[in-house]
Amino acid sequence: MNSAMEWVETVGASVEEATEKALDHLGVPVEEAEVTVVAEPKMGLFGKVREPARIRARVRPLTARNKDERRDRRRRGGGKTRKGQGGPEKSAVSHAQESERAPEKATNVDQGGAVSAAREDVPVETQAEVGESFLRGLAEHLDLEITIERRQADEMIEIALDGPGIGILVGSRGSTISALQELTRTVVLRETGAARAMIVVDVGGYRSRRRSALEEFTKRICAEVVETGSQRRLEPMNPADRKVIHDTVNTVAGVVSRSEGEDPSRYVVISPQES
Amino acid sequence: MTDGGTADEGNFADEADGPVSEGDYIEEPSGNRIRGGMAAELLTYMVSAVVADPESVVVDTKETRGGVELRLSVAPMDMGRVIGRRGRVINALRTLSRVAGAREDVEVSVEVLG
Repeated sequence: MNSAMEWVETVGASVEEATEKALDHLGVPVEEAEVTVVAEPKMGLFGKVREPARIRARVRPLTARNKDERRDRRRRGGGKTRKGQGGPEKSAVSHAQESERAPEKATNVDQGGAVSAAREDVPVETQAEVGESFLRGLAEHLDLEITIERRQADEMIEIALDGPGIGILVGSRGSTISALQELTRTVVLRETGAARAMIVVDVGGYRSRRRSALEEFTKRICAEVVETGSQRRLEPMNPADRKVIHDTVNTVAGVVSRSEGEDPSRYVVISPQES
Repeated sequence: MTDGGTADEGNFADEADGPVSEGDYIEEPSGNRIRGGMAAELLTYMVSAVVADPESVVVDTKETRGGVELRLSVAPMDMGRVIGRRGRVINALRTLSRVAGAREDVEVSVEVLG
């Protein structure tokens, strides 16, 4: 997936605002993004923003992790152990010292001992398996019989759930799918300490159907914007839908898109490209 | 006399048993027997996968007028993980707990005990 490697540059009244926009555009949570501040905002009189904050961000690539994290390469499967401060497995006395030198990784490191430290090379396959087994367990707790299909392309993992009665996991406008995806991403991050692959969860083919419908819709709107020369404001959408819109607009010449407003009523504006 | 006395005591104990056990066993043996049990078990499963200290995860159920309230507590260091950035994790947990509730026809809400 090429777009996963691409940088986006955004501006905002503050670094936070610019970052929000970028994350929105990339469709990933902040943990999965690499963010660089290009320029801090310059304030004028009365707290007015004279020059906006400017940041660059991209989806954190799978391979480019810095060396300090290349510590403990033991494989997964140590089983659940007691957790605790900075909790590498207790047996690893010599490693314990090392990981203390990387306190910033503590949040990932102490995940039930499943993985004792972030490695730079948690395979996409492993991340996908962790995500899949979490979803399987979840379906079991709901007494749902499901089948799971997994597709992997470079740094993207799609986990598609299907089965009788799967509809209860869709929710209105896919809100339950989004919840599943959010949790799956969180769990993979905790378990592997390195959810750098982008995980997408689909239920009953909802996302792919929605994606094609949105793409069609977006192309229509783009054509209108080009024709009339005036911008169009779309209805509020969730981040996943907004990403589809942004991606589609990117493929059409003469139009640009941006998001405005705050979640959950954040919406996309498609406007003619200036100049 | 002695016989009668024992019998009486026995009866008395039997009668007293009902109400007492109801209160005592409300969170007991098979979770599915309580209203919202499926939601409570699902919530426990999900939260345990998210936190660093799964053994400290406790979910109590409380009957409310509208349905069932799930009261979640986790180790203090895990509070941030359970809430997530802008409450994204807790909102996802709520959404899925409600789905489980709907399976049993129970309205479920989730509270995090600080």
